[in-house]
Amino acid sequence: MKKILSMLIILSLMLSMTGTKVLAFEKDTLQTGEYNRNEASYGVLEEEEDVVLYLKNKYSDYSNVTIGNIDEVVTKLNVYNFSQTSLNSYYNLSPACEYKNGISGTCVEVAITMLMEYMARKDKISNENYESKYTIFKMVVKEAKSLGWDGSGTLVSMIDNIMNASFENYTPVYSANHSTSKLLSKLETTITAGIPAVVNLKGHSVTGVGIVFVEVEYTKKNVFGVSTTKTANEVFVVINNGWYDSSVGEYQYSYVPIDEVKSIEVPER
Amino acid sequence: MRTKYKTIFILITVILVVTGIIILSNTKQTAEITTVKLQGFTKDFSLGKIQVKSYSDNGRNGISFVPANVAEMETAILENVYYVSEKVMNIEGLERNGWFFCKDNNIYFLYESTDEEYTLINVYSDYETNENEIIAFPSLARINFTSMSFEMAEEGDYDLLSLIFDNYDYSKAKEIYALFDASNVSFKGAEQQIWIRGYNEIENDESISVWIVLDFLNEKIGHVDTEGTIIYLE
Repeated sequence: MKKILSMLIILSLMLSMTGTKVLAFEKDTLQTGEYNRNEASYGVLEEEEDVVLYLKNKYSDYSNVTIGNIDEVVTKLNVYNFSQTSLNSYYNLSPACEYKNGISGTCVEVAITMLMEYMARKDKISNENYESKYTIFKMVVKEAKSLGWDGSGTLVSMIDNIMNASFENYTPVYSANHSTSKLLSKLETTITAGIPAVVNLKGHSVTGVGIVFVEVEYTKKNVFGVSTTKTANEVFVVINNGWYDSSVGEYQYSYVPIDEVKSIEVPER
Repeated sequence: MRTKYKTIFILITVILVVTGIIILSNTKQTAEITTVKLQGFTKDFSLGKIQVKSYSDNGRNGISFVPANVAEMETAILENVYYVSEKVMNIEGLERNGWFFCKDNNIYFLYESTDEEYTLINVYSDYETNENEIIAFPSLARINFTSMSFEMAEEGDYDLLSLIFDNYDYSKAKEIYALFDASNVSFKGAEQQIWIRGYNEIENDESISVWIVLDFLNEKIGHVDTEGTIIYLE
């Protein structure tokens, strides 16, 4: 009886290990790529005009709404935007491609590449072998593969590990600090210090490069019909979304309301 | 006696846990396999709802899913009114076998992206004008024609244009674009050119469109500027 019991326990443990992967996979968020701007819940606003439209919609239940200027609180870092399609095509056609089905859903790897290309260009990190977007992207994919990445979509729980493995190739060595709280102050601190961050939305990762505030004035009526004028400061993170290639001399920023940011990875020494 | 009951209790618990884990790990769900059209990037084309083991919506990069039953997926494909044929298309540099659909001047393609996973995407390309506008147009391959993508091709020692022109001549490409409305495509047989309507991807305004020119005679790609002149990418 004891033998049967032990066998059953071992069997259940083995099966539960298989199942754990599935369950953990579902709990973790798969960061896969790109979002539809019209699904506002995903948050990415491609231009300043879209920020204004977003706020008009958000305050549509109030009267006398005045939307102020977009004030750059933290100066935007000149991080280049790279398209996943361009970088994936480059990698898939390269002799370095180690995936028989190629790679796809690379928002995380592209966000890290945009961040590291900027840091290398600004001499924050140094390794003459990994300075261009090509060598950096290939290195990031290689490090992700060594950590078990299957080439399509990346779990949030893997992002800091991929960044840390990639940072190991540079001096000085940075490490990625994953945070889910006090996101605004942490973003403000790092971007002010000239270091971008990886910003994770629900299902998509981008590179955070700046912060803007917009003052909104509006009139609200209480239950007794008394009107009060109120002011709100709306905060947006300036991002490189990984959807388009930057043109020479242009950086192509977009915006995301701070509430849409689920977590961040900040490089720290 | 107590030990016997204890053993039976543990045994039942173990069996229940194992059964639960097996059921949970094989959970199927129903998902609508749908993706965006390039005019405004709103959800438009759908294969309908099918049973999947998992799926992830990648917005502009389509939807990836593991079907619970491949036969059910294949039925959904063949019964779809927008299904055209099986086809080989270049997706981000790789030739993929799959199924080709055309709806409202958009090209859609479903292919096996990994061993079990399938991806449904809108096949469009980004084209960068000489004024640095990014135009998205329905394309014969999912690749970009931007200054940066050309720079990457040079670095990677491959020819971006050959991903189109090695796979399509004028007549083969015409067979695909002939599925479009006349207002969205124009055929210039003598010059072996196909003009396709594209849209500013960042402005995302459907009223702002640009003609993209695929020139099969000279194996070049260009766009028509406001003066009506074709500007080719060099």
